[in-house]
Amino acid sequence: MEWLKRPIHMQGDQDVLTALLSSTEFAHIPLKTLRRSKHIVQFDGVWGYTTAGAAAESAW
Amino acid sequence: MGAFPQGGPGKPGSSLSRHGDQPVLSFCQPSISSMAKWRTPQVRLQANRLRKGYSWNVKPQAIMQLLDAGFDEVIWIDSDVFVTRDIRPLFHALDEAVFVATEHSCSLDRYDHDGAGRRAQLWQLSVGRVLPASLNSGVPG
Repeated sequence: MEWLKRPIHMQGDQDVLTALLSSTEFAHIPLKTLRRSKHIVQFDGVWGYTTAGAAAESAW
Repeated sequence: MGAFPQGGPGKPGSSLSRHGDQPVLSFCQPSISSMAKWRTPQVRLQANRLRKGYSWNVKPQAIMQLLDAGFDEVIWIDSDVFVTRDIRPLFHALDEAVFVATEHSCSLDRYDHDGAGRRAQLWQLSVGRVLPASLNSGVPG
């Protein structure tokens, strides 16, 4: 099925990962998130590195 | 630490080499000649195919295979990631139980926020916690 037509929880492996780490069974697993803008810039057009993200990074 | 890009144009291997001396295990298809360009002192090509796993499923399979092989830490880096500085401080001193993932981009059409654990709900899993953002699997570790 085309990517954008998939249900949100089945779009990719990361959506399953998000579901599992949110679930009661795995909620005890400590999670460190690499922050967008601060630690990683993603290739996603204007959403990859936003003004808000840049401002937040400079405030850290 | 085992860090391994999934195989592609060679960017992660080469950019990792420029920023720190961390060892890199690169899973690749041996038939792709461009992979040979990744050969630096700390890059070792893992030419053996995984026992199972393909496409996006390759990530957990590759990570599990390296953990089973005795690596204490494994960080997967997608092949389209450019490393611009030494990444080891991001992972330094983390407890071995900690799972690392990246925030997803904030694109509105990609549903950045997970709401009240809606992905878990849609999989009919009970929600144990609500994450501040949905996760991106480009650099799990």
